[in-house]
Amino acid sequence: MNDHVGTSQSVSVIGLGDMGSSLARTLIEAGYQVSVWNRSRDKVDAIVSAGGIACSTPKEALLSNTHVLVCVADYSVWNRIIEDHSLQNEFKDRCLIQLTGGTFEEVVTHAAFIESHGGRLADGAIMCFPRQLGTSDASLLMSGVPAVLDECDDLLRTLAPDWTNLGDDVRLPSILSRSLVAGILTSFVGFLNGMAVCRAAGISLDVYKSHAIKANAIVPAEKNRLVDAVREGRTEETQASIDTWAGAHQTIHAVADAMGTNLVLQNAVKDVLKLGQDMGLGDHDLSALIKVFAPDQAC
Amino acid sequence: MNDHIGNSRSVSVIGLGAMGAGIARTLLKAGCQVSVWNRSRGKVDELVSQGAVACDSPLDAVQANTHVIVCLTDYAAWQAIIEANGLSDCFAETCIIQLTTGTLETVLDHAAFIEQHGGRLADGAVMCYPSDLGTETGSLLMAGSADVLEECDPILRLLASTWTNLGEDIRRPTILSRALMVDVGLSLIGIVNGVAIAQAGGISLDVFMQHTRNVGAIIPTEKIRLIEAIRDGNTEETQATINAWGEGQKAVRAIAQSLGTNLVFQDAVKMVFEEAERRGLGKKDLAALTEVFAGETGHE
Repeated sequence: MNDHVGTSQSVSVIGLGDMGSSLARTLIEAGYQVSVWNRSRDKVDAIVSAGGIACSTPKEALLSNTHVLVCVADYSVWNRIIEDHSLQNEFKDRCLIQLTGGTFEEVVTHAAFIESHGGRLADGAIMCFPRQLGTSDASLLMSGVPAVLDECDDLLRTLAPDWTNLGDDVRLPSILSRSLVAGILTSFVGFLNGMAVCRAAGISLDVYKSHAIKANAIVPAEKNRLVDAVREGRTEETQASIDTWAGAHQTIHAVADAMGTNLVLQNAVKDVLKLGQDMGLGDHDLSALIKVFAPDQAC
Repeated sequence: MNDHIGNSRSVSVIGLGAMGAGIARTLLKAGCQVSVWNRSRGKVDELVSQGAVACDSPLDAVQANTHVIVCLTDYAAWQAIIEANGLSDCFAETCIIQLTTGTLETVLDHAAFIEQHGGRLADGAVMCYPSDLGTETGSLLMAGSADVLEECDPILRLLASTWTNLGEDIRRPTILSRALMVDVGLSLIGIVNGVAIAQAGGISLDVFMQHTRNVGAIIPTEKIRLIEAIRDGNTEETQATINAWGEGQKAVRAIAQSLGTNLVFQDAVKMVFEEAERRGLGKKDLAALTEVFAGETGHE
């Protein structure tokens, strides 16, 4: 069963949620021999029917291959697996590709733990949907020492041809992925919020859709402009000041209120714009809100 | 001065803020004769130097042309102008193209007021930057009776060649434009929030931007998918459940907290997800969050 141990074409995957399953499938399709373990067995069976090899314990998965991908719900789940299955002394000479999302206290503690137990670690974050893995749209942010990342390169390329090397600060994949998710999530949630406002007024979703596409067309260029403005410290000059946005936002809030939709996001935006105005940034560009969000300056 | 009265290529513009000035300038460039009034004279002089005709009072502007575009900070400013200048009885035969942003109540009150005073009204919302006016990215949402919109069409086309006719319900431009602003506003402020987190964590903004572009590439497709899922009532099937996004949201909040950035957005998003969980939507697609936002109607 384990005659491929040590070859780069053989790998274990621990954790078969949507993302872990897709990692396993992508590797199987690329010709890897993939050994899998998951707490509930049905996910394992699905991967076995796709060509994976079932492991009955996480220890078996860890010992089957030098390279072990871990993708579980969070670090507390992973720590429990380590304890329940006494894995702590099994990491020697293993190379762990840790793709579980965590806080950076967890990430840093985990890195120290693996190192002190003789293992190698590449820590990363997946920044795409499961279906995008293995395609040119896949995005994988990795950190680790150069030798380890180099060792994992073939495997990582299979998952994301353009995986990003963020260097050896193991916290950076978490930070970058979270800062990106912060942006995406507000964008999606805002979109759904806008849709609810239209629906409440009987505006057809198709009309909303066509205008949302149009309105969103300016967003990528506008995001570029905002980031450039922050980077270059040019947050004063503007076509639409924070005061203008705040004025517009009052009407947004009033309309959402009149339509009876949930106001939690409108209240948050109101607070952010108000903080900007209170800091004397009213006639500055929207990018000046960086001063509201940034740590120290906010006080 | 007023020999173009009644000609559709002759327009008055009341209010010369960034948007009003953009409107006046766009119409001038398109060859219209434009009469302008603004509370502070400096803005008027600037437009006059570009070919506009100065009006000394808003009354002048209303009487100079059949078509009068109003673009002020809010309806209160417009009401104050009407009262201070005794405009109430000057709207007979005038066609007001109202582009001031208001609440639903103010929009409805204003429509009733103009009708009662014998005027015609097209009410709209500008959904683009001043610099987009007159270009193919110009976007203008309009409502009004069919004949009024038809009458205004030559002017509207100059501002936004594909202006949108939302029909007679005069509230709709306000509602749609506000709904779109929720989306765009949160996308933009959200990215500034992301920049703050990245910066506080020592990530170079070049790397951040490169990945924002990568990740951003999925957003339009994903938004279309979300809206179609809701339209088709298919919010069960998913590649990333509300629970999965909820975990992502918690992780974002934890990192933002460690880095000491402002948490107001993270807290708001957290409340949205908590409400979704309370409603038992955890295993559904993100699209099902629409039930959280729908408020009352979500229970029906």
